Amino acid sequence: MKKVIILLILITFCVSLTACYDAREVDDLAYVIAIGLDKGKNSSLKITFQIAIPKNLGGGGDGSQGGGSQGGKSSAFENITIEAPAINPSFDMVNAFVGRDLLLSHTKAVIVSEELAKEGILHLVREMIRNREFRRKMTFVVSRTTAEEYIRSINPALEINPAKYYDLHYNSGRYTGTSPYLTLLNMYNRMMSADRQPAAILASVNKSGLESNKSTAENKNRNTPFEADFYSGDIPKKSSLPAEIMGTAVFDGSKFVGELDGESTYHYLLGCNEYGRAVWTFNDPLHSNQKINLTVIKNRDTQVRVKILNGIPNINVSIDLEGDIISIHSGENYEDPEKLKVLENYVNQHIKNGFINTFNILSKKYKSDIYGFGRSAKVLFPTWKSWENFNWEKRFSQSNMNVKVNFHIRRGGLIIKSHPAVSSEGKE
Amino acid sequence: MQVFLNLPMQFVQIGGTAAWLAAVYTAILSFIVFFIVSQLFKRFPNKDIYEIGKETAGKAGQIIIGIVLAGYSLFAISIILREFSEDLKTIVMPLSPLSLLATFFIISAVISVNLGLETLLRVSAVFVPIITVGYFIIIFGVSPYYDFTRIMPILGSGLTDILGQGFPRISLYTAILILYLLAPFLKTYDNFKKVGYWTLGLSNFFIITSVLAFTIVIPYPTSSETYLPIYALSRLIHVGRFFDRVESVFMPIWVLAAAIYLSIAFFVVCYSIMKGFDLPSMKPLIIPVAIIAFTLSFISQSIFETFKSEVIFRTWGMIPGFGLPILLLLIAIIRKKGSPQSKSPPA
Repeated sequence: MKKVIILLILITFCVSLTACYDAREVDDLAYVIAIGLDKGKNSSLKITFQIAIPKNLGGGGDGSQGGGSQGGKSSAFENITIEAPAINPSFDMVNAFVGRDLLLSHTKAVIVSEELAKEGILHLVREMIRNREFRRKMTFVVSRTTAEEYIRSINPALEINPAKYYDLHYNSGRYTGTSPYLTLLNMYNRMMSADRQPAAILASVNKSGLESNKSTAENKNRNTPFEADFYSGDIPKKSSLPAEIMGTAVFDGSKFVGELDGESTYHYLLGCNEYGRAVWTFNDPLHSNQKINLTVIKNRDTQVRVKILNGIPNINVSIDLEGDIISIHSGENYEDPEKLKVLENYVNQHIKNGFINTFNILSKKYKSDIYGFGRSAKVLFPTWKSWENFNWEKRFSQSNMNVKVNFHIRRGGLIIKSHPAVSSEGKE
Repeated sequence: MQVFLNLPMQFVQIGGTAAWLAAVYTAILSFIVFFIVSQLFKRFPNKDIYEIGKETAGKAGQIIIGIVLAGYSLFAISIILREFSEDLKTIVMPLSPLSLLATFFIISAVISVNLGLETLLRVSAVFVPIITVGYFIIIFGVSPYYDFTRIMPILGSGLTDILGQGFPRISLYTAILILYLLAPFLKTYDNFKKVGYWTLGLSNFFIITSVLAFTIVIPYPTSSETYLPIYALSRLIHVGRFFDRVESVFMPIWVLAAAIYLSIAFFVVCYSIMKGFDLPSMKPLIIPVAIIAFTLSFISQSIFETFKSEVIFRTWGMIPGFGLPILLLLIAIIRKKGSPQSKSPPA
């Protein structure tokens, strides 16, 4: 009899412990890949959901791509836009016409429009942080256009799986250096932080075309733009991929306050030690109308020391980089150690000037320490209260910058000496 | 187990960026207090706290000790049971009724206490290493997020707050009162001392490392509002794009830790009543105590009320946990009970 009772208890446990109350079958769910947040017209928010269509993600031979149904081809995802009072209630609204329960556990990105971000978004970020379904690691993006337009323009040509597209695309900053990588949790932490302000990937939809002349080159006294002299959406191009990222969205607290272009993003990433590598263009120091391309790689972590003199922060930054020569348009033999020094000194000064320029934009114009220099400053304070009383966010705008760049060219690819071309008129 | 609940966050609320310092301070206090408490068991080798109570304060002392320890442990069970059931509901099973989740914990406690202390300790011996491995995976898994500038300013909310508010946190170590019950089974005072210091040492290691890991991963002040800190850390773990959402793997570990903790506390309640009132067996007490604990856990209207009760439990728990044996020691000294130099016979 005892055995029968034990057996009955075990059977009861087996059935009840399978969590049937909470069962959500994989087949019954709609997987949201990205969420876009805009200001609503009739409601507080306009929310765009990009929902995966799993049966089209299998990589079959029909050449299916994302971006909604195009030319009769089956799409890998569906875009839905609705107006709602807040993020969480919008799920139920979507379920009024989507047959499957929305699942946010696989959401890769949240995109917020600049227009909405300007008003302050702590309440929206907190709403997502509070909900256990949202991944705190999802990428946070600010769109110069509406988030809806940006999401609808996404058409991952090289990826069948849009989730993989988001992963790879938003991580490209580690080898382009022109966009940061920040997650929802980073944003939340920094919004309430007294030592670092939030920043985000700057995204947009490119409508300019190949003839676009929107660049930041003019502000830098350049005749022609370099590769990172753009904000997102301004890259001169002809492509079926209109969605792009370049630059950084700068926040002060929970409010969006401004943008950095691609080149300033190099400097921002160098300052906060998140720079990996990128290909830079420089003017040739010996031939002013010619260009030189170098891969600039982080050699050592950036060192930051802050001293406070008479209440004014003096920030000392030491940047250690190395470079590989990619191309020398003039044909000058910079592989010669003597000439190499000339080039190194020029690049050194160029990076230093650019860094100070970006620092001035962030400290004087935007008044936002997105670098996190405050983390080095707070070491000087014994208690949190004394640190808060110092009011770093305000003092940052009065701070002085001393930057030391240590740059050395190490390699020159597969060529170790540059010879000029020889024509009928002699050496060019 | 307390590490898996909100303990790291509570230290952050005391010390701010210096939460780890508050944890170290409390750890030092715990050793000092245990040293004082161990003097009682030195005077009364091979006796548990109820027998000591009887010898120093008579039958009334024995009954009071039984009631205090049973009452305190019952209070602890009701809070921990509610809290962990709420945690499960929040993070894993949001649709399941709270009572269903609490029922599973209480049933596991009933079964284990029914099977006896030896079974309980053997089960702990099997699962504690597994729980420990899981804990280390979380702590090392979040190492890419370590940023030691997050423990700056070094004194956090200030020495006054750390020293003042940190003192009642020795209540965290009141689980050591299980040793007061086990003293006769440990045979000698040296064993009692050794087990006590080792227990405190290991507990302190887990408390300090969890608080430190939490504060260098989640920056202050966000860390002071983060519910279930260790769970929050585990959600950050990922290796490439293929190894993600590992927190679900840790759920069984947390459930096991909670079940073991509740079972031991449940045992303390039943054993204290039995010993306090000189009952021949504690088996008839198990079901009634289970029903009372289950009912008490549902008195709080919300998780926020439970947190408030937890603060009381964590602040005043030192009175039954450490105050009571120290009081007995004082009575014993005044009434010249026990032998200050007594050496227990070899095991």
